Amino acid sequence: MKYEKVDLEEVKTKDILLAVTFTKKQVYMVSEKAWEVIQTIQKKERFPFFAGIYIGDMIKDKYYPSISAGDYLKLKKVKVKDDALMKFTYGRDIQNRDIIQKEGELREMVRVVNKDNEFVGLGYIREFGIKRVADIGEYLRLEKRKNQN
Amino acid sequence: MNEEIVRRYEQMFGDEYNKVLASFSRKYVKSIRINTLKIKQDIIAERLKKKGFVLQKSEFNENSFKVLREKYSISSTPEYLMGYYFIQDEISSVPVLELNPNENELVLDMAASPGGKTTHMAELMKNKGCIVSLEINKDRMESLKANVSRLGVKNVVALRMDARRADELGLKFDKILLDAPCSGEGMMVRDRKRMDSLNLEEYNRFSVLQKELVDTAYKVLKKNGIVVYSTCSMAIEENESVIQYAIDKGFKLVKQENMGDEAKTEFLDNKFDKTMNLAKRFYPHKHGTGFFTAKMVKNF
Repeated sequence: MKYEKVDLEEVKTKDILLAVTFTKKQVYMVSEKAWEVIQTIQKKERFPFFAGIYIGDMIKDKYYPSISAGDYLKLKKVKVKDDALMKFTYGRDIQNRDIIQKEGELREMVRVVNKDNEFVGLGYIREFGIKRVADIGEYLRLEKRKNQN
Repeated sequence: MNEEIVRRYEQMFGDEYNKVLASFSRKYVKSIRINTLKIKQDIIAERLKKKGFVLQKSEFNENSFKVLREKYSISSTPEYLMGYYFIQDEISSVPVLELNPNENELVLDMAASPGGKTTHMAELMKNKGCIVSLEINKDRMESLKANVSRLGVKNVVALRMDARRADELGLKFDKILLDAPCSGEGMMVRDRKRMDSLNLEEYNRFSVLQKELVDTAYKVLKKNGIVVYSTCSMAIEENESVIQYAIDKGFKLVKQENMGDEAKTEFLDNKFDKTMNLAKRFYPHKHGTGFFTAKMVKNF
């Protein structure tokens, strides 16, 4: 349960990245002072439930980003029309006709952004357009699940 | 509503007690607080207005708005999902603005979930320094985690623990926010079921817990450190009585900048310290919500 510093070449940040293993290995982005505090309390055998921004998981040394990592990932971007983005945040893929601008190659993971370059989700480039991996609608779906429970 | 509570309101508000009762039945108006870590207030306000939301600037916080009309739920816009704002009663900004944490400080939030006040403090601290956020309930901790991530807050260390045991962390804090668990009677406009379940015994039950939290706050605060105590209750037992206990321990009340009425220096048979008027009371029929804040310094 101990938090330890990690480096991830997929993430661009001046902040500190920490990994901790609960049921799986989770990665967080924290401020310098937060890291100092974590080191202090770990000496007292106390371990945070989380710290800073949860940016994903590590499975067998491979990094799988969470939706909150979107603003920090070193990925190419695909700019998409607003109407298609609305459907994307409900879990749908994106068709080529809805793409305004595309960087990256077939099968590459990309950041999906709106016309103002704001992060909306992650996907893979496919022949038909973008295969959805994750989107910011997850925050809402999480809240709905919690309210139902 | 419980007869004891109605009688209490008569004793507390005199002729105005009917206005207080009526205020619990009015339409609840949501508020949002703009997350200035991610976007400027005027830009997001303009975007929401273009989408058909009618906003009115809050009188408590320059970065909060009342949502007077929603075209659809304000919690399902892309802007919400991008972390540009937090849905939070406007009065909830008051204790954070009074605490005014800065970017070099170590701050404790003793009852953190769902994260409105923690993320507001992170904004004032410019995502630097550190906020230690405590929450005992696992589900509420998950909400805190989601909100901290959505709003892009990096300076939070969250522990699932009883805040009464915060001294076990081995830390001394510059500032403490003690937004105490309370009867919640000031928020009955949002949760009308509370009108039937609230009773005087509950005031006393929370008062015991609140005093225990004051004990811990005293232990973990640095000399000359500041604590802001708040509740969304109007009960003497949860407010002035708790602050009197804090004064007797060695805390000293200091002046607050926010509006609100002076807290009570006496009520029925209770007489409180003469400085109690430095604490502030907010009432549902006058300020929209029942609330209480007290800012204190630890002098030794």
